Amino acid sequence: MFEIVYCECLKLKRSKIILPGILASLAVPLLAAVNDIRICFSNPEASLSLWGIYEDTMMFLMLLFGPLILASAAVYLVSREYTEKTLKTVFAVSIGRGRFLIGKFITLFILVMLFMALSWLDIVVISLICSLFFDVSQVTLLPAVSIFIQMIKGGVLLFPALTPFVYLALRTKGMLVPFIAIAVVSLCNVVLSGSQAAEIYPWTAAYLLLAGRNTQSGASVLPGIWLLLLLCVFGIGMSVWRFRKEDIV
Amino acid sequence: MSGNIIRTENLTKKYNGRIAVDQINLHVPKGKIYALLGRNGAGKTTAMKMLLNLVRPSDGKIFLFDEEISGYGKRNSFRIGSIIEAPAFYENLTAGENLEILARLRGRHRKDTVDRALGAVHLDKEHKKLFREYSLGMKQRLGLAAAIMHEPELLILDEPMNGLDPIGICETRNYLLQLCREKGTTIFISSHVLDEISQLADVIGIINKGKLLEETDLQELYRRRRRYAEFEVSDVNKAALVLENRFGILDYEVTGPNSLRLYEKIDSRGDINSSFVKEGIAVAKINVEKGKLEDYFTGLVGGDRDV
Repeated sequence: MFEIVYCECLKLKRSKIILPGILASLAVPLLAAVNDIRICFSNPEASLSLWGIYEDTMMFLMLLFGPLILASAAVYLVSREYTEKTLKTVFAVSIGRGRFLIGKFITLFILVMLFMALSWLDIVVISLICSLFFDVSQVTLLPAVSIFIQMIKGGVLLFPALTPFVYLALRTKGMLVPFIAIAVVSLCNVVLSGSQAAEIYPWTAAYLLLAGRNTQSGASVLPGIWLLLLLCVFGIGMSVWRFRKEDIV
Repeated sequence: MSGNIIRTENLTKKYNGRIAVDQINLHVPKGKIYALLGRNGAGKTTAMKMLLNLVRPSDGKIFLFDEEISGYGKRNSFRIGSIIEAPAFYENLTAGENLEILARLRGRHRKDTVDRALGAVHLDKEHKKLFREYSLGMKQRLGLAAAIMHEPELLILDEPMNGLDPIGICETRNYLLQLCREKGTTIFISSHVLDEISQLADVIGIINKGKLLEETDLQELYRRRRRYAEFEVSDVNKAALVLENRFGILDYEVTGPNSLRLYEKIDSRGDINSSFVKEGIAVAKINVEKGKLEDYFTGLVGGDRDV
Protein backbone atom coordinates (compact mmCIF):
# COMPACT_ATOMS: atom_id res chain seq x y z
CA MET A 1 0.00 0.00 0.00
CA PHE A 2 2.91 2.35 0.72
CA GLU A 3 4.08 2.03 -2.91
CA ILE A 4 0.57 2.80 -4.22
CA VAL A 5 0.32 5.93 -2.07
CA TYR A 6 3.88 6.93 -3.03
CA CYS A 7 2.95 6.55 -6.71
CA GLU A 8 -0.20 8.62 -6.21
CA CYS A 9 1.92 11.39 -4.69
CA LEU A 10 4.41 11.11 -7.57
CA LYS A 11 1.55 11.46 -10.05
CA LEU A 12 0.73 14.84 -8.50
CA LYS A 13 4.19 16.19 -9.34
CA ARG A 14 3.81 19.23 -11.63
CA SER A 15 0.04 18.66 -11.69
CA LYS A 16 -2.32 21.60 -12.04
CA ILE A 17 -4.24 20.86 -8.85
CA ILE A 18 -1.36 21.57 -6.47
CA LEU A 19 -0.92 25.32 -6.99
CA PRO A 20 -4.64 26.23 -6.65
CA GLY A 21 -4.76 24.06 -3.52
CA ILE A 22 -1.80 25.82 -1.93
CA LEU A 23 -3.10 29.26 -2.92
CA ALA A 24 -6.55 28.48 -1.51
CA SER A 25 -5.11 27.22 1.77
CA LEU A 26 -3.12 30.47 2.05
CA ALA A 27 -5.83 32.78 0.79
CA VAL A 28 -8.56 31.82 3.24
CA PRO A 29 -6.71 32.81 6.47
CA LEU A 30 -5.55 36.00 4.75
CA LEU A 31 -9.11 36.93 3.78
CA ALA A 32 -10.35 36.08 7.29
CA ALA A 33 -7.66 38.30 8.84
CA VAL A 34 -8.44 41.17 6.44
CA ASN A 35 -12.11 40.84 7.36
CA ASP A 36 -11.30 40.89 11.10
CA ILE A 37 -9.10 43.97 10.69
CA ARG A 38 -11.87 45.70 8.77
CA ILE A 39 -14.31 44.93 11.60
CA CYS A 40 -11.83 46.33 14.14
CA PHE A 41 -11.59 49.57 12.18
CA SER A 42 -15.35 49.95 11.90
CA ASN A 43 -16.04 48.83 15.49
CA PRO A 44 -13.51 50.14 18.06
CA GLU A 45 -14.80 47.67 20.68
CA ALA A 46 -13.90 44.66 18.55
CA SER A 47 -10.47 43.09 18.99
CA LEU A 48 -8.18 40.90 16.96
CA SER A 49 -7.24 37.46 18.26
CA LEU A 50 -5.57 34.33 16.94
CA TRP A 51 -8.64 32.30 17.87
CA GLY A 52 -10.92 34.78 16.08
CA ILE A 53 -8.94 34.51 12.85
CA TYR A 54 -9.02 30.71 13.21
CA GLU A 55 -12.81 30.62 13.68
CA ASP A 56 -13.47 32.77 10.65
CA THR A 57 -10.97 30.77 8.60
CA MET A 58 -12.55 27.46 9.56
CA MET A 59 -16.03 28.64 8.67
CA PHE A 60 -14.91 29.59 5.17
CA LEU A 61 -12.70 26.51 4.84
CA MET A 62 -15.25 23.93 6.00
CA LEU A 63 -18.27 25.41 4.27
CA LEU A 64 -16.90 26.83 1.04
CA PHE A 65 -13.23 26.57 0.12
CA GLY A 66 -12.61 23.10 1.60
CA PRO A 67 -15.39 21.34 -0.34
CA LEU A 68 -14.53 23.31 -3.47
CA ILE A 69 -10.79 22.73 -3.51
CA LEU A 70 -10.53 19.34 -1.82
CA ALA A 71 -13.48 17.78 -3.64
CA SER A 72 -11.91 19.03 -6.87
CA ALA A 73 -8.68 17.30 -5.84
CA ALA A 74 -10.64 14.11 -5.09
CA VAL A 75 -12.27 14.23 -8.52
CA TYR A 76 -8.94 14.99 -10.20
CA LEU A 77 -7.26 11.96 -8.57
CA VAL A 78 -9.78 9.64 -10.22
CA SER A 79 -10.94 11.44 -13.36
CA ARG A 80 -7.45 11.96 -14.75
CA GLU A 81 -7.00 8.19 -14.95
CA TYR A 82 -9.94 8.14 -17.38
CA THR A 83 -9.16 11.31 -19.32
CA GLU A 84 -5.48 10.34 -19.74
CA LYS A 85 -6.50 6.68 -20.33
CA THR A 86 -3.85 5.45 -17.91
CA LEU A 87 -5.91 2.72 -16.24
CA LYS A 88 -5.08 0.21 -18.99
CA THR A 89 -1.39 0.87 -18.37
CA VAL A 90 -1.68 0.62 -14.60
CA PHE A 91 -3.91 -2.46 -14.49
CA ALA A 92 -1.71 -4.35 -16.92
CA VAL A 93 0.60 -4.44 -13.88
CA SER A 94 -2.03 -6.52 -12.04
CA ILE A 95 -2.50 -4.54 -8.88
CA GLY A 96 -5.81 -5.12 -7.15
CA ARG A 97 -8.44 -2.60 -8.15
CA GLY A 98 -9.71 -2.27 -4.59
CA ARG A 99 -6.18 -1.65 -3.32
CA PHE A 100 -5.58 0.90 -6.05
CA LEU A 101 -8.70 2.84 -5.08
CA ILE A 102 -8.01 2.64 -1.36
CA GLY A 103 -4.58 4.08 -2.18
CA LYS A 104 -6.35 7.02 -3.80
CA PHE A 105 -8.54 7.55 -0.70
CA ILE A 106 -5.46 7.49 1.53
CA THR A 107 -3.79 10.02 -0.75
CA LEU A 108 -6.90 12.20 -0.58
CA PHE A 109 -6.82 11.99 3.22
CA ILE A 110 -3.16 13.05 3.22
CA LEU A 111 -4.00 15.98 0.91
CA VAL A 112 -6.81 17.09 3.24
CA MET A 113 -4.43 16.99 6.19
CA LEU A 114 -1.72 18.90 4.32
CA PHE A 115 -4.31 21.48 3.29
CA MET A 116 -5.36 21.93 6.90
CA ALA A 117 -1.76 22.04 8.16
CA LEU A 118 -0.84 24.66 5.58
CA SER A 119 -3.87 26.76 6.49
CA TRP A 120 -2.92 26.50 10.18
CA LEU A 121 0.61 27.66 9.42
CA ASP A 122 -0.83 30.55 7.45
CA ILE A 123 -3.16 31.52 10.33
CA VAL A 124 -0.23 31.58 12.75
CA VAL A 125 2.07 33.52 10.38
CA ILE A 126 -0.64 36.08 9.51
CA SER A 127 -1.47 36.53 13.19
CA LEU A 128 2.21 37.10 13.96
CA ILE A 129 2.48 39.68 11.16
CA CYS A 130 -0.74 41.38 12.32
CA SER A 131 0.61 41.52 15.87
CA LEU A 132 3.45 43.75 14.60
CA PHE A 133 0.91 46.43 13.65
CA PHE A 134 -2.16 45.73 15.81
CA ASP A 135 -2.97 44.38 19.21
CA VAL A 136 -3.62 40.69 18.56
CA SER A 137 -4.36 38.49 21.57
CA GLN A 138 -3.58 34.77 22.10
CA VAL A 139 -0.58 34.73 19.75
CA THR A 140 1.18 32.16 21.92
CA LEU A 141 2.17 28.52 21.60
CA LEU A 142 -0.70 26.95 23.53
CA PRO A 143 -3.59 28.45 21.50
CA ALA A 144 -1.63 27.72 18.32
CA VAL A 145 -1.27 24.03 19.25
CA SER A 146 -4.92 23.88 20.26
CA ILE A 147 -5.93 25.40 16.91
CA PHE A 148 -3.71 22.89 15.08
CA ILE A 149 -5.54 20.00 16.78
CA GLN A 150 -8.88 21.56 15.88
CA MET A 151 -7.86 21.92 12.27
CA ILE A 152 -6.74 18.29 12.08
CA LYS A 153 -10.13 17.36 13.53
CA GLY A 154 -11.72 19.53 10.85
CA GLY A 155 -9.82 17.60 8.19
CA VAL A 156 -10.94 14.27 9.63
CA LEU A 157 -14.57 15.47 9.61
CA LEU A 158 -14.32 16.92 6.11
CA PHE A 159 -12.82 13.79 4.52
CA PRO A 160 -15.99 11.60 4.67
CA ALA A 161 -17.95 14.37 2.99
CA LEU A 162 -15.53 14.23 0.02
CA THR A 163 -15.78 10.49 -0.67
CA PRO A 164 -19.08 10.61 -2.66
CA PHE A 165 -17.37 12.84 -5.22
CA VAL A 166 -14.91 10.03 -5.93
CA TYR A 167 -17.83 7.72 -6.64
CA LEU A 168 -19.37 10.35 -8.91
CA ALA A 169 -16.08 10.71 -10.79
CA LEU A 170 -15.94 6.92 -11.26
CA ARG A 171 -19.50 6.81 -12.52
CA THR A 172 -19.17 9.67 -14.98
CA LYS A 173 -15.50 9.04 -15.93
CA GLY A 174 -14.99 12.75 -16.36
CA MET A 175 -14.72 16.01 -14.45
CA LEU A 176 -17.68 18.07 -15.60
CA VAL A 177 -20.52 16.38 -13.69
CA PRO A 178 -18.57 16.09 -10.41
CA PHE A 179 -17.55 19.77 -10.66
CA ILE A 180 -21.19 20.79 -11.12
CA ALA A 181 -22.08 18.65 -8.08
CA ILE A 182 -19.30 20.29 -6.05
CA ALA A 183 -20.60 23.76 -6.95
CA VAL A 184 -24.15 22.76 -5.97
CA VAL A 185 -23.02 21.24 -2.66
CA SER A 186 -20.93 24.33 -1.80
CA LEU A 187 -23.84 26.63 -2.62
CA CYS A 188 -26.18 24.56 -0.43
CA ASN A 189 -23.57 24.80 2.35
CA VAL A 190 -23.78 28.58 2.27
CA VAL A 191 -27.57 28.61 2.08
CA LEU A 192 -28.14 25.98 4.80
CA SER A 193 -25.36 26.91 7.25
CA GLY A 194 -27.62 29.13 9.39
CA SER A 195 -30.69 26.87 9.28
CA GLN A 196 -31.75 23.85 11.34
CA ALA A 197 -31.39 21.63 8.25
CA ALA A 198 -27.62 22.13 8.50
CA GLU A 199 -27.45 19.37 11.13
CA ILE A 200 -28.74 16.76 8.71
CA TYR A 201 -26.88 18.04 5.65
CA PRO A 202 -23.57 16.15 5.76
CA TRP A 203 -21.37 18.88 4.29
CA THR A 204 -22.50 21.44 6.90
CA ALA A 205 -22.72 18.80 9.65
CA ALA A 206 -18.93 18.44 9.53
CA TYR A 207 -18.51 22.14 10.32
CA LEU A 208 -21.21 22.15 13.01
CA LEU A 209 -19.51 19.21 14.75
CA LEU A 210 -16.15 20.96 14.66
CA ALA A 211 -17.51 24.29 15.85
CA GLY A 212 -19.49 22.54 18.60
CA ARG A 213 -22.74 24.12 17.45
CA ASN A 214 -24.68 20.91 18.15
CA THR A 215 -23.66 20.88 21.81
CA GLN A 216 -24.30 24.62 22.15
CA SER A 217 -27.91 24.10 21.08
CA GLY A 218 -28.23 21.10 23.41
CA ALA A 219 -28.45 18.59 20.56
CA SER A 220 -26.47 15.36 20.43
CA VAL A 221 -23.38 15.07 18.26
CA LEU A 222 -24.20 11.44 17.42
CA PRO A 223 -26.57 12.06 14.45
CA GLY A 224 -23.93 14.22 12.79
CA ILE A 225 -21.21 11.62 13.38
CA TRP A 226 -23.43 8.80 12.10
CA LEU A 227 -24.34 10.85 9.06
CA LEU A 228 -20.68 11.37 8.16
CA LEU A 229 -19.84 7.73 8.85
CA LEU A 230 -22.64 6.55 6.59
CA LEU A 231 -21.54 8.95 3.88
CA CYS A 232 -17.97 7.66 4.17
CA VAL A 233 -19.08 4.01 3.97
CA PHE A 234 -21.26 4.87 0.97
CA GLY A 235 -18.54 6.88 -0.78
CA ILE A 236 -15.74 4.36 -0.33
CA GLY A 237 -17.87 1.20 -0.52
CA MET A 238 -19.76 2.15 -3.68
CA SER A 239 -16.57 3.41 -5.33
CA VAL A 240 -14.72 0.13 -4.71
CA TRP A 241 -17.73 -1.96 -5.76
CA ARG A 242 -18.19 0.03 -8.95
CA PHE A 243 -14.50 0.10 -9.82
CA ARG A 244 -14.02 -3.64 -9.35
CA LYS A 245 -16.76 -4.60 -11.75
CA GLU A 246 -16.12 -2.19 -14.60
CA ASP A 247 -14.36 -2.92 -17.88
CA ILE A 248 -11.42 -0.73 -18.80
CA VAL A 249 -12.38 0.14 -22.37
CA MET B 1 2.58 -28.14 -20.02
CA SER B 2 0.69 -27.98 -23.33
CA GLY B 3 3.35 -25.82 -25.01
CA ASN B 4 0.94 -22.93 -25.34
CA ILE B 5 1.59 -19.85 -23.23
CA ILE B 6 -1.85 -18.49 -24.07
CA ARG B 7 -4.85 -20.69 -24.68
CA THR B 8 -8.47 -19.70 -24.78
CA GLU B 9 -11.62 -21.79 -25.01
CA ASN B 10 -14.68 -20.21 -26.58
CA LEU B 11 -13.64 -16.80 -25.30
CA THR B 12 -16.50 -14.38 -25.84
CA LYS B 13 -17.18 -10.75 -25.08
CA LYS B 14 -20.48 -8.98 -25.55
CA TYR B 15 -21.09 -5.27 -25.05
CA ASN B 16 -24.77 -4.55 -24.52
CA GLY B 17 -25.75 -7.53 -26.64
CA ARG B 18 -23.25 -6.73 -29.42
CA ILE B 19 -20.68 -9.49 -29.86
CA ALA B 20 -17.14 -8.09 -29.97
CA VAL B 21 -15.33 -11.42 -29.63
CA ASP B 22 -17.13 -14.60 -30.59
CA GLN B 23 -16.01 -17.92 -29.09
CA ILE B 24 -12.38 -17.71 -30.11
CA ASN B 25 -9.91 -20.50 -29.39
CA LEU B 26 -6.41 -19.06 -29.40
CA HIS B 27 -3.25 -21.16 -29.14
CA VAL B 28 -0.10 -19.09 -28.70
CA PRO B 29 2.93 -21.40 -28.64
CA LYS B 30 5.81 -20.81 -26.27
CA GLY B 31 8.79 -18.92 -27.69
CA LYS B 32 7.03 -17.93 -30.91
CA ILE B 33 5.68 -14.71 -32.36
CA TYR B 34 1.95 -15.04 -32.85
CA ALA B 35 0.24 -12.33 -34.87
CA LEU B 36 -3.45 -11.68 -34.57
CA LEU B 37 -4.43 -10.15 -37.85
CA GLY B 38 -7.71 -8.48 -38.59
CA ARG B 39 -9.35 -5.36 -39.90
CA ASN B 40 -10.09 -2.39 -37.65
CA GLY B 41 -12.84 -3.35 -35.21
CA ALA B 42 -12.35 -7.09 -35.77
CA GLY B 43 -12.00 -7.77 -32.03
CA LYS B 44 -8.20 -7.89 -31.66
CA THR B 45 -7.94 -5.29 -28.88
CA THR B 46 -10.90 -6.70 -26.94
CA ALA B 47 -9.36 -10.17 -27.04
CA MET B 48 -6.08 -8.77 -25.72
CA LYS B 49 -7.83 -6.76 -23.02
CA MET B 50 -9.50 -9.91 -21.77
CA LEU B 51 -6.13 -11.64 -21.54
CA LEU B 52 -4.79 -8.69 -19.58
CA ASN B 53 -7.56 -8.49 -17.04
CA LEU B 54 -8.85 -5.17 -18.31
CA VAL B 55 -12.13 -6.51 -19.64
CA ARG B 56 -14.22 -9.27 -18.11
CA PRO B 57 -15.06 -12.08 -20.57
CA SER B 58 -18.77 -12.72 -21.09
CA ASP B 59 -18.06 -16.41 -21.57
CA GLY B 60 -15.23 -18.87 -22.13
CA LYS B 61 -11.94 -19.69 -20.47
CA ILE B 62 -8.46 -18.19 -20.51
CA PHE B 63 -5.33 -20.19 -19.76
CA LEU B 64 -2.09 -18.28 -19.23
CA PHE B 65 1.06 -20.29 -18.59
CA ASP B 66 -1.21 -23.36 -18.42
CA GLU B 67 -3.16 -21.91 -15.52
CA GLU B 68 -6.82 -21.09 -15.85
CA ILE B 69 -7.68 -17.48 -15.16
CA SER B 70 -11.28 -16.57 -14.54
CA GLY B 71 -12.98 -13.17 -14.55
CA TYR B 72 -10.81 -10.53 -12.96
CA GLY B 73 -8.47 -13.09 -11.43
CA LYS B 74 -4.97 -11.94 -10.67
CA ARG B 75 -2.43 -12.39 -13.46
CA ASN B 76 1.23 -12.81 -12.86
CA SER B 77 2.36 -9.32 -13.77
CA PHE B 78 6.05 -10.19 -13.54
CA ARG B 79 5.68 -12.58 -16.46
CA ILE B 80 3.65 -10.37 -18.79
CA GLY B 81 4.42 -7.07 -20.52
CA SER B 82 1.91 -5.25 -22.68
CA ILE B 83 0.94 -2.33 -24.87
CA ILE B 84 -2.76 -1.83 -25.49
CA GLU B 85 -3.82 0.65 -28.16
CA ALA B 86 -1.93 3.96 -28.00
CA PRO B 87 0.40 3.95 -24.98
CA ALA B 88 -1.05 6.07 -22.18
CA PHE B 89 1.06 7.57 -19.43
CA TYR B 90 0.80 10.48 -17.01
CA GLU B 91 1.19 13.62 -19.09
CA ASN B 92 2.81 15.73 -16.36
CA LEU B 93 5.57 13.21 -15.67
CA THR B 94 8.79 12.35 -17.47
CA ALA B 95 9.43 9.00 -19.14
CA GLY B 96 11.59 7.91 -16.19
CA GLU B 97 8.94 8.89 -13.63
CA ASN B 98 6.23 7.06 -15.56
CA LEU B 99 8.30 3.89 -15.70
CA GLU B 100 9.16 4.28 -12.00
CA ILE B 101 5.44 4.27 -11.16
CA LEU B 102 4.90 1.02 -13.06
CA ALA B 103 7.96 -0.58 -11.50
CA ARG B 104 6.87 0.42 -8.00
CA LEU B 105 3.32 -0.83 -8.55
CA ARG B 106 4.77 -4.08 -9.78
CA GLY B 107 6.87 -4.16 -6.60
CA ARG B 108 10.22 -4.33 -8.37
CA HIS B 109 11.67 -0.87 -8.59
CA ARG B 110 15.34 -0.49 -9.41
CA LYS B 111 16.61 2.64 -11.09
CA ASP B 112 18.90 0.73 -13.44
CA THR B 113 15.96 -1.27 -14.87
CA VAL B 114 14.22 1.98 -15.81
CA ASP B 115 17.40 3.35 -17.41
CA ARG B 116 18.04 0.10 -19.25
CA ALA B 117 14.49 -0.02 -20.62
CA LEU B 118 14.74 3.58 -21.84
CA GLY B 119 18.12 2.78 -23.42
CA ALA B 120 16.69 -0.24 -25.23
CA VAL B 121 14.18 1.95 -27.06
CA HIS B 122 16.63 4.86 -27.54
CA LEU B 123 14.80 7.20 -25.19
CA ASP B 124 17.64 7.51 -22.69
CA LYS B 125 18.56 10.97 -23.97
CA GLU B 126 14.94 12.13 -23.74
CA HIS B 127 14.18 10.76 -20.30
CA LYS B 128 13.71 14.21 -18.74
CA LYS B 129 11.15 15.35 -21.28
CA LEU B 130 7.55 15.35 -20.09
CA PHE B 131 5.31 12.71 -21.65
CA ARG B 132 2.98 15.36 -23.10
CA GLU B 133 5.93 16.75 -25.10
CA TYR B 134 6.63 13.40 -26.75
CA SER B 135 5.84 12.71 -30.40
CA LEU B 136 3.56 9.78 -31.27
CA GLY B 137 6.55 7.64 -32.17
CA MET B 138 8.32 8.44 -28.89
CA LYS B 139 5.16 7.58 -26.95
CA GLN B 140 5.01 4.26 -28.75
CA ARG B 141 8.64 3.56 -27.86
CA LEU B 142 7.99 4.44 -24.23
CA GLY B 143 5.09 1.98 -24.30
CA LEU B 144 7.50 -0.68 -25.51
CA ALA B 145 9.98 0.26 -22.77
CA ALA B 146 7.23 -0.18 -20.16
CA ALA B 147 6.33 -3.55 -21.63
CA ILE B 148 9.87 -4.96 -21.63
CA MET B 149 11.19 -3.24 -18.49
CA HIS B 150 10.76 -6.27 -16.23
CA GLU B 151 11.95 -8.79 -18.84
CA PRO B 152 8.66 -10.66 -19.12
CA GLU B 153 8.22 -14.13 -20.60
CA LEU B 154 5.16 -13.01 -22.55
CA LEU B 155 4.61 -9.78 -24.44
CA ILE B 156 1.10 -8.79 -25.48
CA LEU B 157 1.40 -5.96 -27.99
CA ASP B 158 -1.56 -4.29 -29.62
CA GLU B 159 -0.44 -2.64 -32.85
CA PRO B 160 2.95 -1.58 -31.44
CA MET B 161 4.22 -0.14 -34.73
CA ASN B 162 1.49 2.53 -34.94
CA GLY B 163 3.01 5.99 -35.25
CA LEU B 164 6.58 4.77 -35.72
CA ASP B 165 8.65 6.06 -38.62
CA PRO B 166 10.13 3.50 -41.06
CA ILE B 167 13.42 3.31 -39.14
CA GLY B 168 11.51 2.96 -35.87
CA ILE B 169 9.43 0.13 -37.36
CA CYS B 170 12.56 -1.65 -38.54
CA GLU B 171 14.29 -1.21 -35.15
CA THR B 172 11.24 -2.40 -33.23
CA ARG B 173 10.80 -5.40 -35.50
CA ASN B 174 14.44 -6.39 -35.10
CA TYR B 175 14.25 -5.88 -31.36
CA LEU B 176 11.16 -8.09 -31.05
CA LEU B 177 12.76 -10.75 -33.22
CA GLN B 178 15.87 -10.60 -31.05
CA LEU B 179 13.81 -10.91 -27.86
CA CYS B 180 12.01 -13.94 -29.23
CA ARG B 181 15.02 -15.72 -30.75
CA GLU B 182 17.60 -14.96 -28.05
CA LYS B 183 15.58 -14.80 -24.85
CA GLY B 184 12.73 -17.08 -25.84
CA THR B 185 10.10 -14.41 -25.15
CA THR B 186 6.67 -15.34 -26.45
CA ILE B 187 5.12 -12.44 -28.35
CA PHE B 188 1.41 -12.07 -29.02
CA ILE B 189 1.05 -9.14 -31.38
CA SER B 190 -1.89 -7.66 -33.22
CA SER B 191 -1.86 -5.71 -36.42
CA HIS B 192 -3.87 -4.79 -39.47
CA VAL B 193 -0.74 -4.25 -41.57
CA LEU B 194 -0.01 -7.45 -43.43
CA ASP B 195 3.46 -6.56 -44.62
CA GLU B 196 4.59 -5.80 -41.07
CA ILE B 197 3.34 -9.13 -39.80
CA SER B 198 4.74 -11.22 -42.65
CA GLN B 199 8.25 -10.10 -41.67
CA LEU B 200 7.80 -10.90 -38.00
CA ALA B 201 5.37 -13.66 -37.16
CA ASP B 202 5.79 -17.41 -36.87
CA VAL B 203 2.10 -18.10 -36.41
CA ILE B 204 -0.86 -16.09 -37.64
CA GLY B 205 -4.42 -15.95 -36.38
CA ILE B 206 -6.94 -14.23 -38.60
CA ILE B 207 -9.86 -12.60 -36.85
CA ASN B 208 -12.86 -11.02 -38.52
CA LYS B 209 -16.06 -9.69 -36.96
CA GLY B 210 -15.07 -11.25 -33.63
CA LYS B 211 -14.52 -14.75 -35.01
CA LEU B 212 -11.15 -16.45 -35.33
CA LEU B 213 -11.22 -17.64 -38.94
CA GLU B 214 -7.90 -19.37 -39.10
CA GLU B 215 -4.84 -20.07 -37.00
CA THR B 216 -1.86 -21.27 -38.95
CA ASP B 217 1.89 -21.31 -39.38
CA LEU B 218 3.14 -18.49 -41.61
CA GLN B 219 5.26 -20.92 -43.66
CA GLU B 220 2.17 -23.03 -44.24
CA LEU B 221 0.36 -19.93 -45.50
CA TYR B 222 3.17 -19.25 -47.94
CA ARG B 223 2.86 -22.82 -49.21
CA ARG B 224 -0.87 -22.41 -49.66
CA ARG B 225 -0.60 -19.43 -51.96
CA ARG B 226 -1.96 -20.22 -55.38
CA ARG B 227 0.28 -20.28 -58.46
CA TYR B 228 -0.91 -18.32 -61.45
CA ALA B 229 0.12 -17.13 -64.90
CA GLU B 230 -0.47 -13.48 -65.57
CA PHE B 231 -0.97 -12.36 -69.16
CA GLU B 232 -0.69 -8.78 -70.32
CA VAL B 233 -2.77 -8.59 -73.52
CA SER B 234 -4.15 -5.98 -75.90
CA ASP B 235 -7.78 -7.12 -75.52
CA VAL B 236 -8.85 -8.91 -72.30
CA ASN B 237 -12.40 -9.60 -73.48
CA LYS B 238 -11.27 -11.39 -76.58
CA ALA B 239 -8.59 -13.22 -74.57
CA ALA B 240 -11.22 -14.38 -72.06
CA LEU B 241 -13.34 -15.80 -74.88
CA VAL B 242 -10.33 -17.73 -76.21
CA LEU B 243 -9.61 -19.14 -72.74
CA GLU B 244 -13.18 -20.29 -72.21
CA ASN B 245 -14.04 -21.53 -75.70
CA ARG B 246 -10.80 -23.05 -76.86
CA PHE B 247 -9.22 -24.24 -73.61
CA GLY B 248 -12.27 -24.66 -71.37
CA ILE B 249 -10.61 -22.52 -68.67
CA LEU B 250 -13.02 -20.99 -66.19
CA ASP B 251 -10.68 -20.35 -63.22
CA TYR B 252 -9.22 -17.04 -64.31
CA GLU B 253 -9.50 -13.46 -63.15
CA VAL B 254 -9.37 -10.17 -65.02
CA THR B 255 -7.08 -8.06 -62.84
CA GLY B 256 -6.77 -4.91 -64.97
CA PRO B 257 -7.73 -3.31 -68.27
CA ASN B 258 -5.01 -5.32 -70.03
CA SER B 259 -4.19 -8.15 -67.66
CA LEU B 260 -5.71 -11.42 -66.57
CA ARG B 261 -4.63 -14.19 -64.24
CA LEU B 262 -4.91 -17.83 -65.06
CA TYR B 263 -5.14 -20.25 -62.15
CA GLU B 264 -5.48 -23.52 -64.12
CA LYS B 265 -3.64 -25.13 -67.06
CA ILE B 266 -0.68 -22.87 -66.31
CA ASP B 267 1.67 -25.30 -68.04
CA SER B 268 -0.24 -24.78 -71.31
CA ARG B 269 0.65 -21.09 -71.33
CA GLY B 270 2.74 -21.57 -74.51
CA ASP B 271 -0.27 -22.94 -76.45
CA ILE B 272 -2.48 -20.24 -74.97
CA ASN B 273 -0.02 -17.59 -76.10
CA SER B 274 0.01 -19.01 -79.65
CA SER B 275 -3.79 -19.00 -79.75
CA PHE B 276 -3.92 -15.39 -78.57
CA VAL B 277 -1.50 -14.36 -81.33
CA LYS B 278 -3.50 -16.32 -83.96
CA GLU B 279 -6.64 -14.45 -82.85
CA GLY B 280 -4.84 -11.11 -83.27
CA ILE B 281 -4.37 -10.49 -79.55
CA ALA B 282 -0.97 -8.92 -78.81
CA VAL B 283 0.72 -10.44 -75.75
CA ALA B 284 3.13 -8.04 -74.06
CA LYS B 285 4.10 -10.17 -71.04
CA ILE B 286 3.58 -13.55 -69.39
CA ASN B 287 4.56 -14.03 -65.73
CA VAL B 288 4.23 -17.13 -63.61
CA GLU B 289 3.96 -16.18 -59.94
CA LYS B 290 2.58 -17.19 -56.59
CA GLY B 291 -0.28 -15.28 -55.03
CA LYS B 292 0.48 -12.63 -52.45
CA LEU B 293 -0.48 -13.12 -48.81
CA GLU B 294 -2.70 -10.10 -49.24
CA ASP B 295 -4.80 -11.97 -51.78
CA TYR B 296 -5.13 -14.89 -49.42
CA PHE B 297 -6.36 -12.67 -46.58
CA THR B 298 -8.69 -10.73 -48.82
CA GLY B 299 -10.22 -14.00 -49.95
CA LEU B 300 -10.60 -15.16 -46.36
CA VAL B 301 -11.80 -11.97 -44.73
CA GLY B 302 -13.70 -10.58 -47.70
CA GLY B 303 -14.10 -6.94 -48.68
CA ASP B 304 -11.39 -4.73 -50.06
CA ARG B 305 -7.67 -5.31 -49.91
CA ASP B 306 -7.09 -3.13 -46.83
CA VAL B 307 -6.91 -5.87 -44.24
